[in-house]
Amino acid sequence: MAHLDKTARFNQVALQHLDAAYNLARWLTQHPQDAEDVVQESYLKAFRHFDSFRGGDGRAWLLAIIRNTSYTRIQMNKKSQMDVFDEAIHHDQFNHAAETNGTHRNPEQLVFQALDRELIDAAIKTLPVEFREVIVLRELEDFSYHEIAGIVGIPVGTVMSRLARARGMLRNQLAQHFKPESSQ
Amino acid sequence: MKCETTANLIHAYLDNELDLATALDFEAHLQACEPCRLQLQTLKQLQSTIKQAAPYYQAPAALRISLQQSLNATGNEHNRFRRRFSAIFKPWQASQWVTALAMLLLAFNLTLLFKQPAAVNQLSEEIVSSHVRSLMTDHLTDVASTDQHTVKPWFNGKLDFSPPIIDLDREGFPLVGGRLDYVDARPVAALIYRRRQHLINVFIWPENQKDTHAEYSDSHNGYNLISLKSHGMNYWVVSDLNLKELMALKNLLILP
Repeated sequence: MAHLDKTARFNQVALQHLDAAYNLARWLTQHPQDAEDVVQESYLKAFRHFDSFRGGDGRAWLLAIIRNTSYTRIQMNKKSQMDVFDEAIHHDQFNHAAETNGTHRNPEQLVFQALDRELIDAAIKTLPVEFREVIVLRELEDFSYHEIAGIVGIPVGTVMSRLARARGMLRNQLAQHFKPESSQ
Repeated sequence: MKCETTANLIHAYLDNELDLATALDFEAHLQACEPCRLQLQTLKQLQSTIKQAAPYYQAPAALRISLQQSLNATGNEHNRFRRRFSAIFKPWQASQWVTALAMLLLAFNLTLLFKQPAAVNQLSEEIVSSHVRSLMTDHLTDVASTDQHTVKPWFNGKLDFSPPIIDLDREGFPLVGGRLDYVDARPVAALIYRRRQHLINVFIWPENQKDTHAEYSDSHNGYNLISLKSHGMNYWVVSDLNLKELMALKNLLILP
């Protein structure tokens, strides 16, 4: 009887957030199979720790587990790779290109027209994982700074500064594809 | 406020993270400063582009099914272990549970651990339906006003009680208005609050002895609800807003 209650309650709390869980795992690990493995592992962990879940936001609780499991998976993958993709260098090259274009220099209004999903997808993928993470949690999952801080394990101020940098990086990348609207 | 400060606060402003006073200062600066205004505009467009165009990956159907199966298997194992365990340590376990339960009840004063009676489940479904209906039709409010002094008197003569209405704008839950609704076979007051883009219905009616459930929170079809009694009234708070923020609203509502 107790088991039925626990499974029913867990299903209600956790299974309803399966898409959010998969989405986060997918964005972090950047690989569908890894994302599935992370979700399986995380849900079992979550079920085992469900007794310590005292109510409140099930989605935030679950995504914190997904996040940690994803990071472990990313580390594991890095170790088994021969050549590590140096995101810092790659990222700087993108930035440099944007600078020479000069489309982002001053606060001109940049008009982003209706966009290719692929374009946005590609742009977010170039972000280092800790910046990708806050973009997904804020823009796709609508979490508050405070909640993001709880899920990621950083202070609220760091959430804000990471978000600011992430948005700046995305703006620079996407700006290459759009002309600034002339203010005249 | 100077441009430098505005630049530091622009993201927090965009994400509705600023307290009201700072937000108002921010807006005042923007009214007089075109470059800052343009910067916000660009940022808003970037945000909406990301929200609309970024892929939201949905879990493959096979994953969902496989998860349900493995969770059931774990649950069964768990249950078998507990049964064996309790058979051996029966007397000790019973008294331990009683103490733990008593402590839990004292500490939380909730009956969330127990399965809710069928009547309450039915009522919570009715509440969610009312909420969804109010969002779908043109009938979200009968009286649209952010001022409690306009909304409260509107209910006079329409209800046999006066619903407590408080202004929570400063706490980030602006009042949208009020509506007459019908729940649990009686006319009730529905107050509509907003949190960012989420609308929240707060159903209020006088407490009745036959409503025996205590504070209760639940989720139906992605909508979260909290139900409790306070100051002689039944409160049902329902929204697609996440439960944590909904709890914050609930705590504010029962304060005075």
